[in-house]
Amino acid sequence: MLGFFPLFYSYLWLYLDLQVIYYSAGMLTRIPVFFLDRQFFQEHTTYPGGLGEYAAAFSAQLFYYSWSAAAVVTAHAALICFCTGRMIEALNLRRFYFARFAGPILLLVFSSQYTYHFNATTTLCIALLFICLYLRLTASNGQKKSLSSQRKDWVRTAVLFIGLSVVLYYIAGGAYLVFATFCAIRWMRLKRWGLAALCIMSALLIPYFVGVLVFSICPDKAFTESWPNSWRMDFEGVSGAAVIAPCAVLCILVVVLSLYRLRLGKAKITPGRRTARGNKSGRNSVTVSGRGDRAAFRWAVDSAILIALAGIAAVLSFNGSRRKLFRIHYYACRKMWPQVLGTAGRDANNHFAINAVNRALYNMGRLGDEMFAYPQHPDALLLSGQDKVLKYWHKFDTQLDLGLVNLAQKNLTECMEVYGKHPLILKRLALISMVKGNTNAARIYLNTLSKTLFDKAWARDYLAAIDADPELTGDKRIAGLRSMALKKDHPSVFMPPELAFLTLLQENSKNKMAFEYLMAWYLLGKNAEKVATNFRRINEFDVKAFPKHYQEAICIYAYSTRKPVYLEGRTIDAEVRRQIEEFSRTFNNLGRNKDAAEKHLLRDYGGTYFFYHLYGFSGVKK
Amino acid sequence: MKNKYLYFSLLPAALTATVMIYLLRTGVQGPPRTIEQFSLVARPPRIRPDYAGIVIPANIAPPNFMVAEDGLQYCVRIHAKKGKQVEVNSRSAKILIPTGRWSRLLKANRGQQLSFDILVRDKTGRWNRYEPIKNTIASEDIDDYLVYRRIHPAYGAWKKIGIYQRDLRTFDESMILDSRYFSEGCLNCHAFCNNKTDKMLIGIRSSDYGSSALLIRDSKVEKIGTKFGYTSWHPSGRLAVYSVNRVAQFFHSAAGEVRDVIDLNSLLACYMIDSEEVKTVPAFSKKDRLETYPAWSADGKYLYFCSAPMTWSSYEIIPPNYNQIKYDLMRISYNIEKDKWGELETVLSSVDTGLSILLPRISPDAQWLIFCMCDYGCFPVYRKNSDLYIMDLKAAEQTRRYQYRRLDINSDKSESWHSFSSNSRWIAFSSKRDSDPFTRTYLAYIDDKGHIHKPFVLPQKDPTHYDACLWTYSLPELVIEPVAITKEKLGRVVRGAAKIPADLPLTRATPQVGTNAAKHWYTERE
Repeated sequence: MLGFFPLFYSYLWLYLDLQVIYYSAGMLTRIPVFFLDRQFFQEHTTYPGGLGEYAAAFSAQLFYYSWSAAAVVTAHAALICFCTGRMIEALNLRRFYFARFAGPILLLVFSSQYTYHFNATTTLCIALLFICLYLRLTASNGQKKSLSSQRKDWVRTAVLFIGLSVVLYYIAGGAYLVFATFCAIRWMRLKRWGLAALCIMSALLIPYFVGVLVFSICPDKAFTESWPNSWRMDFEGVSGAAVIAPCAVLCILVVVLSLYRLRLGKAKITPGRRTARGNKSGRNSVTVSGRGDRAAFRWAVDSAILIALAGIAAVLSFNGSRRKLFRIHYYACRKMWPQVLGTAGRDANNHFAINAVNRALYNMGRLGDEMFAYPQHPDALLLSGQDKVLKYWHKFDTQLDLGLVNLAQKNLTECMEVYGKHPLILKRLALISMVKGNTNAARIYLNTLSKTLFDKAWARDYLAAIDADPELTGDKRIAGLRSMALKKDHPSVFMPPELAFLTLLQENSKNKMAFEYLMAWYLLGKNAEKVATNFRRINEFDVKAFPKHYQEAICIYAYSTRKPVYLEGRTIDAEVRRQIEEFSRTFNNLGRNKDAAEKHLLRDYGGTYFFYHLYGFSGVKK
Repeated sequence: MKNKYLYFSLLPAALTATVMIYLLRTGVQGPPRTIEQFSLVARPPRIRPDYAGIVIPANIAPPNFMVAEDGLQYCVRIHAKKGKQVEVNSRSAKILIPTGRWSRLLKANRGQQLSFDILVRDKTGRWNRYEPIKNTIASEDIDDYLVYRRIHPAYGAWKKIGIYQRDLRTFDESMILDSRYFSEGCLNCHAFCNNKTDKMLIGIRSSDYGSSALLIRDSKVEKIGTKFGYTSWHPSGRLAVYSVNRVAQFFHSAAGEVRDVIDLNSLLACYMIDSEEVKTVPAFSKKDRLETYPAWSADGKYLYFCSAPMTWSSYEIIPPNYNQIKYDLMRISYNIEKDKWGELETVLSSVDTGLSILLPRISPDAQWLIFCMCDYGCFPVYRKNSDLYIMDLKAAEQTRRYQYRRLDINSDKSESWHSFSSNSRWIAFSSKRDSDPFTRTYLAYIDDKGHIHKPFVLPQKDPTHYDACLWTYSLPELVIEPVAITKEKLGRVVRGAAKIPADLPLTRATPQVGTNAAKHWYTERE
């Protein structure tokens, strides 16, 4: 089964592309932040499980790259597999040796769902390592000894257990219960009832004494520190199915393999024995009676079943829609516009995806020509009406690019409260502070960023730039954003998109993005008249083209009202004229019955504004 | 045998780890040395935070600082008339002063000057000695503890809102209560009686557990079934006056400060501690006025508060003239024995000042009244031009004229949330100077003439703490003792079903509070 982990790693790295989890902060689980800072470390020493969380926070940063993200998950999986194998051996349950792969498959399932429980996994790994250490140090306890040496052993084992328990509880918090439970089971199987009782008592008392009395943690919290349901954790949007599905898969795995083993595994299995080097051997120490080819056959069957089950679990748990959203978000954050459109395709109905698609189309100069070739919804254009939904941080970039700097700032500071000091948030807040000329705040954000692993260079560059020129007059990006930013204050509880775009254009008629978004807003609102009347603003820009959707809207307006529209020296394309005439003819021929006409119009005019104007949704070309 | 080797190898590892932890905790410092030769620099050194020319209490933790001068080695000698000089040698610009020696030096020199001699070894290997920084140790101590709310600049989601206490003698900070103890909610104003923690009130808003106020009396915690806004304890501890505010939040699309709030309606109510009864008084629960920010005089004979005319009828819409709302400073006499209120007086009118008068606080010695004034509204923290002003109440009693002056300690950013120490010699206040939009706590000494000396930011163990601190510290209250009730107990009471019913009399104008917990998104403020 040596091939399992290379396959595991390759799947995670090359197919799942787990780095999107790092960029998905706010959408699924909280991605722990990590700072190279003594204070940050010290904070993690003040409560049980803190050091485990510190390690988890570090490992979370490695999700910055896809290959390292896959390496982290594979390392966790391999560690769990190895330690679980040791535990199974120690319990003399080699019939269930395959169960050591349950943990890795569970991680595979979680990864396929694009979620990862950093703290729980890391602290569990630490607890399992402690179990292995304890097994190593108490390996001789299972052997028959004299009464006096048994007593000595008892004391030594008990002291060792208590010592390791305290240290483990301090490092890994609630994961300590795994350690205590396993030790209790082990001693029970060895009929060492006193030690088993000690383990059970410790499971109750150590969290209480260390957690409650030493660290003053609330009793009900003391047992769940670092667990997925710990009060310190915040899991956003993980559905019950995300937990139930992998558990169900694992149950099936255990049942199927148990049956398989019970039926076919008639080979005599002996517990691990001492090798010449004195080590308790693992798989290699198992002796299987019968011929070697039979063992090889069984190994092959085992491997095939394992890989098949892992594959089934991965396929069943794979969340393609989430992956698509995460990738759109990832590309949008990095301004990789063709990739945004390529990933979104023509069927991304999610408002956040639509928002990213529109921004990509704008940046590629295609918003007025192609926006209805993609799913659309008026609420998705600015997403300012859903302030409580702080996910999908790329939407704040849209606000920032438009010039709605304060709106972006408000949303991002709320994001920081909810999701913590994630570098993606801090970078944007630093940028906003610099755009607003608030260098004191910018320094605070940049100083914080300079303690991160991957954004410190960016932060230090800007800190140096501020030192050299506090106004940052030479920075083109800052200057560009400043030129777009609203200057005049318009206090309100909520600024409707139309008002926002008009205000932006009133202050800066050269704000092309605000113009295109205003037109898009009118198009989405089926307000062809406003499109026609605001079209004159296009002269502010050095644009010769006449975007297709504007032409379509103006045609609709002109045909329906019979009023002339001044086209600023441009002409409606013959193709657009032909389309509206044929569109009208088809619709009229079908008795102006929208339902009856939909199929025909969708086929020929799905990506036009004519279709959207009639039906209220994009007839997306698939 | 194998295990023995393991133990033997673990021992040096543990020792190494201990040494490393010790070094990390204490900071790697250069060896103490006698510096015989140095050049004199004819200016004081630049340090940050700015702890130069300040008056400091003898019972405060050392003001660790960064020397903002380029150098390879740093030597700081702190000395006063009596006691042993404290010398800090460091290879980094970070100066960490040993707490014990610092404390002994200060306690031996109350009322004396304290000098900081700073020497910096430049890249050529030459030592430069700057002009000494001279501070003064006050004769009077500051209260030992500071209680504040620690939040992020935005906190509408009620995720990480906590009330913390800081032992000013050390750097120890501990949590009094965190919103996560009651499934995330809002922790509002905390109010103490006479700078002591045996009587305390904390306002709570929670989607899951409703709005309430925690009443702490001695070691007993009870939940009152209504939320207290800004609260002031009568010095007797027999009643507390609190505000009931219908807050609406709105946003500026272009101003430096994004957020703004308005009280669409407000009044003051009295909570009688023993009878567990809420009372309203017509004088400060008028239908056509907005009353808020109660503050008792030191003798308990007057209640000061702020009041503005309410010129709108809707409690839902931000009025267009929101930036014209200005509060007056009022007071009303009270006889606690007869439970009788006197006549309402205008202490200071916004018409006269041209500014909105907010947050009155009176010193325990009854001498000083400090308040904020800003261009409009009810929330000085969000107003960049909010400044602190002082009024001599004893002089006003004699002359019958309420004269006030702007304090010299103000900056061009918002100053607010001030509180007095129990001996009236210190104030703690929030300021956004150098850190807008993050508020920091500043401490300042008031001499017997009412002159407030240069303020200094609350010292932190790591002098670079504020450089990357994304917390905002609001409502600093000086208290003489720590809050002894545990956060677990407070959390349990918030979560518990038992509560003292406390409904406002139905005849009052202000809508009921506690019903809009779910609509918290737009009703937040620091």
